[in-house]
Amino acid sequence: MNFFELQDQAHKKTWLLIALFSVAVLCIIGLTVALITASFWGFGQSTSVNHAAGIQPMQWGSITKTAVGVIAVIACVIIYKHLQLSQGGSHVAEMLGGRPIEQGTNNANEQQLLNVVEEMAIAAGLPVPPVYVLEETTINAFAAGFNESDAVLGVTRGTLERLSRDQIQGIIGNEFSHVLPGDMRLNLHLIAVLASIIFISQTGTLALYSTSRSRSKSRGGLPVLSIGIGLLVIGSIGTFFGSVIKSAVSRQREYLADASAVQYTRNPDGIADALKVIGSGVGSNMASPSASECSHMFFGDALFLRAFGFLSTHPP
Amino acid sequence: MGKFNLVVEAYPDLKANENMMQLSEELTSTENKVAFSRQAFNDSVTAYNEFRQSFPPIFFASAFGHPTDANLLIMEDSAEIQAAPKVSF
Repeated sequence: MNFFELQDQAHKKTWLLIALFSVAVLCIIGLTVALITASFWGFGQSTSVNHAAGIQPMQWGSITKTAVGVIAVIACVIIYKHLQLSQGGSHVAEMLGGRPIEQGTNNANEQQLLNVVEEMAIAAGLPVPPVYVLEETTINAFAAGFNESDAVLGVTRGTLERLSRDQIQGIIGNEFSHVLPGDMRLNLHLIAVLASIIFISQTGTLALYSTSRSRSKSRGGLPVLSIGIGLLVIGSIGTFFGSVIKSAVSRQREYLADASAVQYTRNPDGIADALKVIGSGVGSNMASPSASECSHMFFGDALFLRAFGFLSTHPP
Repeated sequence: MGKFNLVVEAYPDLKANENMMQLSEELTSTENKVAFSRQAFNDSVTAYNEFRQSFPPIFFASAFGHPTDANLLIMEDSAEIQAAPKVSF
């Protein structure tokens, strides 16, 4: 199988996973709506008997209202997370402690990196992004940014010092595939939607917390308590499956990026050797405290999640 | 004093060596940029031709002004181009 076929295969699997993710999110929203309506309506029925005549219209009206409310809240969270994440790649690079490389640097390694990045930009048909160096001894690299015009590349010092020119070229080719339209945006959408599911479970925790504090005024405590527990359960299940699917998508994108790196460099040995060097004990873990938020962006696994295969963002 | 002389005499050599490394890096990079430009062009042409000949577009391509396949960039002296330039002084 050649690299074009491998790219097609990764594309197909990605879309399958995206469909699965959407179905999961819709189920979560549906469950949340059902839960909130059920607890409020169930509570209303038990306290006031004269509702009995008008149950049917009341029920549908409240379901619609709740659904609109839940969807509005989730949309707000997604939009907020989008705004937060789309500040551009240089922001991410600086958050990770990167230092930009200037044109005409005196360091031979840095000059070589700049040259390699320019070459790969030509091969991928994209503008040349700014390059950042992270002062870490391990081998890793990332691409960040909302679209191709504000993308940046970051490479660790260890990569420059330990790898040959061909190997660096393979890694940069891999990162350029992430800069291509669609990939970073896809990641961004996934994170934003995942954040809204996490928000559901956080709301649940908050509701539980507030009921336990105001237990003395027990009026209205029961529906809030049941909603709290329900939201927490739904949110946790949703977060779990969401993370699993997101990691699976991430792994597919990584296969795609490896195939693209071979397309750009026409040199499968470069990236294969680079991966072997990482596998041979140098490692790719990052020391920066912000690394966990950005694990999906890196070339190698930035975090030590390999033990849990299904949560790993990169293929083994 | 002898040691000092050695250092001074070795210095131009060292400097030349560094310059040579820079030069060879620049040559490699320039060669690669030319090769990758050609490769990116040919990849785009291949993608265009494949899409043009795929199932629904093949019926509409001519009507929308894409009647023929694009040509790949083929160099007549590709063997000479493939060979890297030699550096010698």
